[in-house]
Amino acid sequence: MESAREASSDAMTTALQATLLRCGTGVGEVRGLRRLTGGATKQTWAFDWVAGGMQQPLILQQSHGQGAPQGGAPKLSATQDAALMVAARAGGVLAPVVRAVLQPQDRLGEGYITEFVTGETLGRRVVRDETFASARALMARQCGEILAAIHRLPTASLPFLQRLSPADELRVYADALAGSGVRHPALAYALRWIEENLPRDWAPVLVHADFRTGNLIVGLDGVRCVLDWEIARIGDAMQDLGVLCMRSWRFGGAGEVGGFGSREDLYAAYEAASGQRVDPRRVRFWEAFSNLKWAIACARRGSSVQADGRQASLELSAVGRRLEEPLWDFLALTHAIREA
Amino acid sequence: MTMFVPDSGRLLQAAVDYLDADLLPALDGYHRFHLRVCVNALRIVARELAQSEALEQSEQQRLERLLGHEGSVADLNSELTDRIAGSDLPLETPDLTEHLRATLRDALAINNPGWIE
Repeated sequence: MESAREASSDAMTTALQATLLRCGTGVGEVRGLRRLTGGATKQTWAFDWVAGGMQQPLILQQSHGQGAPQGGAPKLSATQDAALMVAARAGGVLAPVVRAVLQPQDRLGEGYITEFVTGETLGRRVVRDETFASARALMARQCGEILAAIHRLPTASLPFLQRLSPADELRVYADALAGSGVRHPALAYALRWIEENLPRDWAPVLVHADFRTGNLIVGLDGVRCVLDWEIARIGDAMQDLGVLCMRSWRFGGAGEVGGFGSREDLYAAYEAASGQRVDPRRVRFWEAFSNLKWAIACARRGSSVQADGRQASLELSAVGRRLEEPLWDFLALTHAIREA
Repeated sequence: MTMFVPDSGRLLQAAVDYLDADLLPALDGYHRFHLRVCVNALRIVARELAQSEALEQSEQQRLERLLGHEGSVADLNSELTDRIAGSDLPLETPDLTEHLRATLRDALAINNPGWIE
């Protein structure tokens, strides 16, 4: 088993070297390839690219699936994901720098190679470690500014992005739940509540849709990079603010924004940078809806099976048992909205 | 049925304690992360073995009160899901959210007791 892994690791090193050569990076050597922790739906590897006496740390991201079929929940292919990150970077957003997009001849599957960014992504450390105390004080404002920049990005060159109204979002995620076969009274309740409370007004912009603690690389100076762009879409701007406030992504930290900051700071910075008003009620609606989406994702992962019918991986299966967390928070949120 | 000694709960407890106390400190990186997930999963199973029977009984009683007739938990839950989804049961129905909250609280007591503040 161990020797088989080493052999495949050697083959990957060789394949990566050929890929970087193809992309005009010049002659060099791939060293120290290692798999990183995390990522229930994709694999992340780190390695060093050694060329001309210089050593540069790079990241290989291998995604499992293809892009989603039209009409399903948004899921960009690796090529689309990379194109979006290039566009975001061009628009001044701190997205990863793409060095190569994998092609079939690279024999590494779907994915891309990006530059490594030093910092912390683990949610618990970001919201709790003393090291990041001064960073946390800055981050709610930074997030407001970054979200404003994302929402300003032109989308004409990104025709693959789905445009989803709030009602479209409901249809897409209800279908995803039906496909999982999981039936649960609290899920049915949440779907009905969302249907009865769909906002009439919405501002269509490019939304990241997974902008949250855990998907941000954080340094002593705060947010350094925004990761995980693959479920981006054109949707209501308020959605991104709601996702960032979800309790699931606070990792036990203080502060309703991401476990690190206050809504006041987030909203004020967003309004100053975007020139658009924040609608706190709509943010709460999307926070509730994001809890429902996470619950549906838990149901889908928990019910997923491998090609041969066996139960999915331990990591996916364990997420299935997190179903009640967002449903509990959903009921708390809708109760608070009703009382307000 | 044979009365096993130790019973399933205690046998499982001994196995998880070994993984958590002895094996985990010896690992790092990928395997350490996954062993943590594994230990957590086994602790969920242990709590389910100990608590699920009592929790299911109270869930059944609440469901029977809410829907007005007897039935198995599976059948009653299926009916409740259909009636909520089909708009047959208004979201404001008295005791509906209280029932959902009680059921979620009990499930969290098994899956993640730390979630409820």
